[in-house]
Amino acid sequence: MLTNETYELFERFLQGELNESEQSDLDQKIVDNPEWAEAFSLYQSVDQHLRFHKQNQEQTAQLKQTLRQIGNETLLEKMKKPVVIQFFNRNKVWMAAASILLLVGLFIFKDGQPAYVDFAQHSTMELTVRGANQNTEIEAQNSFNQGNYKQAETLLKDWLQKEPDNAEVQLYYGISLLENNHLMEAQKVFKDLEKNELFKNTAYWYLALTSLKEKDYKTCEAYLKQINTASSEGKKARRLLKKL
Amino acid sequence: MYNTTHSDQKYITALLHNDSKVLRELYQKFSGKVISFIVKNNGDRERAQDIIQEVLVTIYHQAKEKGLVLTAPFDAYFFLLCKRRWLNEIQKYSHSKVTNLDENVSILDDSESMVQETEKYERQSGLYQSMFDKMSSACKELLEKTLVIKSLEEVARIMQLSYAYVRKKKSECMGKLTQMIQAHPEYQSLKN
Repeated sequence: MLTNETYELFERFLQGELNESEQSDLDQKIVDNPEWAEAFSLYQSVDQHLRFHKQNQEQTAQLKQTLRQIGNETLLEKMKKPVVIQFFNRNKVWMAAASILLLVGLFIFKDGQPAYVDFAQHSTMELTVRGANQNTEIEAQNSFNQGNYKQAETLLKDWLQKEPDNAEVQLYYGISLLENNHLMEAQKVFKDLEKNELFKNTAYWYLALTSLKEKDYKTCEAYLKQINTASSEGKKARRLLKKL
Repeated sequence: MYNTTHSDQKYITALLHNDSKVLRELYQKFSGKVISFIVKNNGDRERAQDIIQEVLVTIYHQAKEKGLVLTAPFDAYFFLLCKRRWLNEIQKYSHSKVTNLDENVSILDDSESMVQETEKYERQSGLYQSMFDKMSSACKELLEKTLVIKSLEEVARIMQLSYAYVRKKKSECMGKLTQMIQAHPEYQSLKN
């Protein structure tokens, strides 16, 4: 078993602090003693590996988002387009969609981690609509409240172009993106929203849900911990944190 | 034998650069076989998507940390990684009968050794991380800081400690961590 002094010598080597004679002593030890050689190589390998993973977390999360989005589009989208839409009325389709979501939720729960669908309950959109284009805006609001997120996404995007600083529209646009699995764009919208003091906790909650959908539980947890426990999102955050 | 880089290295480059255009092509070209294998063996498309993503993230990590060079076609390498990952997973949770076990076993040497390297990389990564997670919170906190901030002087300044103390503590924690890794049964098989 090596001593703490030996490990400190390894660390000083990594920091480039050994003088010539210490360096040649270390070289000799490594040649003569296989236990030293192995421990020295492992010390460097662990240091490099942990450093790499720590520093690369954000890029990994970004890649995962890209892969999730491409996967959803290329592997799952075809399967999800229901032919039944022509035969059932709207309510039945939503009921069917809800049961599918429930099944997906149950399936995902099997691996012990909480599922996005179990926490994705959004408040209804109740904005006072003013201005000349109020019909499209009412339509946007109705689409969102009926869970027609595809249409809501398009209409809210138009709305946001007219009122880029409307934080509420921004929020509901972000949620639509999230529901439509456009996770990278959703994350961008919520990050913007985070800068608004009034919407900060809501933004953290939705950033956490975006990570949850992405199955990036560490990032999800980190966002949840930023939520003020006294805020209206605090209770939901605690409930989700317990499941993580 | 002299190995040259395969033209499919572009998929590795796409992972490194988060290039969605080429990654989309990767999914379109190579995911079909994986999905059909997983669906035939007690899985479904959603699980196949997870397996594909996990394998691609591992390849990305290996490429970024160790400079992975593809010397064989991506197809066989990728399929075999996904297949073995799925088999491991279902064997962990059930005693389901697995079909097509021996399909494509007679693959080229290059693909096989690349698969082994990637799996070894992942096991090593998992071992280091799980032993790190088991460390005391004091060690974890100090090491986390030294991993993010390259200069130990800076870590010492932030923690309001002396440089010599931080260096000593870091080396003790790292020593402990390497000993825990060496004592783990998985370590011996990774050494060979």
